Amino acid sequence: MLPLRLEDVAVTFPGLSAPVLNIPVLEIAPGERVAVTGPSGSGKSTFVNIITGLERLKCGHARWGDIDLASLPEGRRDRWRGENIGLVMQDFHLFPGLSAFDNVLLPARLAHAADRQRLDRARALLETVGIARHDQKVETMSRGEMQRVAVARALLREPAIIVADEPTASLDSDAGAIVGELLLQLAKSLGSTLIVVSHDERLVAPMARRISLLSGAIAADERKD
Amino acid sequence: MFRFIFSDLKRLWAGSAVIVLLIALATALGVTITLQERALRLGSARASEKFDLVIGAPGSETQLVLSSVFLQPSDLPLMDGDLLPELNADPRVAWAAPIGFGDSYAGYPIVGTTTALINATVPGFAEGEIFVHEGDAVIGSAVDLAVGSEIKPMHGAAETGGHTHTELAYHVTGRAEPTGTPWDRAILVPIQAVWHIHGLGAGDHHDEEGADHDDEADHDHGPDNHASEEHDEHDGHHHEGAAASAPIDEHWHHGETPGLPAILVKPKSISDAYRLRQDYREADGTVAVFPAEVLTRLYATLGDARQVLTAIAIGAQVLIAAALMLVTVIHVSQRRREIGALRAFGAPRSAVFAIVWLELFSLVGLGIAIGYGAGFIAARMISQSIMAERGVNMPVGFAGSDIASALVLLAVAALLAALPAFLAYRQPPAAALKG
Repeated sequence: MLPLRLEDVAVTFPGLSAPVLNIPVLEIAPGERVAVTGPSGSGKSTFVNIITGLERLKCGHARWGDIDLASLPEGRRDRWRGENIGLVMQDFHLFPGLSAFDNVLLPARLAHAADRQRLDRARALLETVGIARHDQKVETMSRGEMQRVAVARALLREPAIIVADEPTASLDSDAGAIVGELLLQLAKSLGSTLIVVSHDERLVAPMARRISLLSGAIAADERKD
Repeated sequence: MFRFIFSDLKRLWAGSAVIVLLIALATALGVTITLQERALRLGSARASEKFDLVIGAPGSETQLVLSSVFLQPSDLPLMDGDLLPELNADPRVAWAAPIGFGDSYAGYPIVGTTTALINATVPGFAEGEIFVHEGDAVIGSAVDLAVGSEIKPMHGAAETGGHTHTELAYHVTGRAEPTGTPWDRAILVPIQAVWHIHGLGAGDHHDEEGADHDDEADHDHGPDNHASEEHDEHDGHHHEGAAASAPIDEHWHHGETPGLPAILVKPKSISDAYRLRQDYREADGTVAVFPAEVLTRLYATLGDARQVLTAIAIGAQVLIAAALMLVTVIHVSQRRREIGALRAFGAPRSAVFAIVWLELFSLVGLGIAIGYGAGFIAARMISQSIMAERGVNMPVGFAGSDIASALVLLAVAALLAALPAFLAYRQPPAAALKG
């Protein structure tokens, strides 16, 4: 179980005077369910990039347990992310031409981590997210089905952390509700930390904690009792 | 990984097919030039290997070889016929045989020669036997006639206004085994018959025809030089020396042998060959050549042309490689998000490099393989066409150097494919995901 601690995080982009993300301290406990909200340009995407190691922090620290992502070289950050983070994105990022089953397994296969156990888990996850035809090509699926395949892929390696960046933004409300429910349910079953970046109130509402960003800074950090 | 690459190529099949086709065409161009040039060298070398030393009248050495070895129609000047008995009496000569051209039948050249030359140059007879009478003829393996056929020779060729000789009809007595040379498309007859049919040689009425013969002795019986003068001659009288049933006589005597365009000489030893060449090169009224040596000089000239063609082929390959680099770099930049996603989901950078490299290299490798196959087939088709038209067997085949060239080509392709792969490898995932 990995707690997150951000310290003195300041992300600046060339040409901008103010940092796009400025967080002196933020802690998220293992297993916590956190919603990150904020208007466009508030720094949500940068927040996701920093906590997942997609972007290397030049100023400050992003620690998951003992690992400071700011100090890891790119290759090790990729490996660490593959092993510890399940990432769900707004645009699904599935690979056309491959079946749902192959899409779920692709990152693990490329990382040489697709053993027999994972193959069985991929099938089980597809059943759990309601995809009956595992060999169906993803480009022939509805958007809701695609996102459910993406959720299954994110959870294949039983990650300690699940990060979902606007997972329901491209879905209709029914499909969005199903995906939101799945994320909560699967994170709970794994005991994973769930961080959801979203505008969708129906997705944000069930979260135990809500962090609001505004102009790169934490404007509010509320916990439900 | 391979499944991903395969599905990617399948999805982008049209673009992939165009890339493979372009590479295949560029490769095939170079391969065809290389194989064809080699086939030409091998084929012509094989065609001339039985022709140790050729003696003719002074003139173009290349033309002498092309006419005598490759039976290319031309106006060869004639040399003194006494040379034939002189050579046959020379202790350095195993045998010397005249080669007389000028007549044809159905597009096949009729060559007057001797049994010695036929026995020495053909591996045997597929049917029948060698000529024994003046009116007998032996056909090459590629002549579309049957043993037993009658042949009415035409002076020159039909397309150059030749006329049919009425003095003699040859009777085909045998078909030679294939030699892979232009002689497979030739009709071989006794030289004696050729002389007689043209009113030359021993036994003819020299007193009556002396004037004509003096004229004729200045030229061979090429297709171009006789149209008008021969008509006059034939209009004026008939040659009566040709007798189909007369036995052939291959004993030559001074003063009785007509002028000859070429004599093939089989020396007894290599040193004899060099001495004979020396003697007849320096003698008045003759030139002596080793066909292989003349062909080597010809190859040197052709080599320049080959270099130009090869340079054009390499230029085409470089242009296509540059175009492909552009296409692949654009392709990789268009797939930034896909590459970024792979990285985001935990695929190692090395896997991303391998995917892009393998995808491109498999297309290039396939193109090169198809190009080699297509180049081979094209060279074979050209060779078969030349074989059918000229009778020269031009063997097309890959050599060790071709494998080395293919490996070099693949190594260059591997390096070029590494560039877009490296670009993909270097892309930070967050930037790539933004597209």
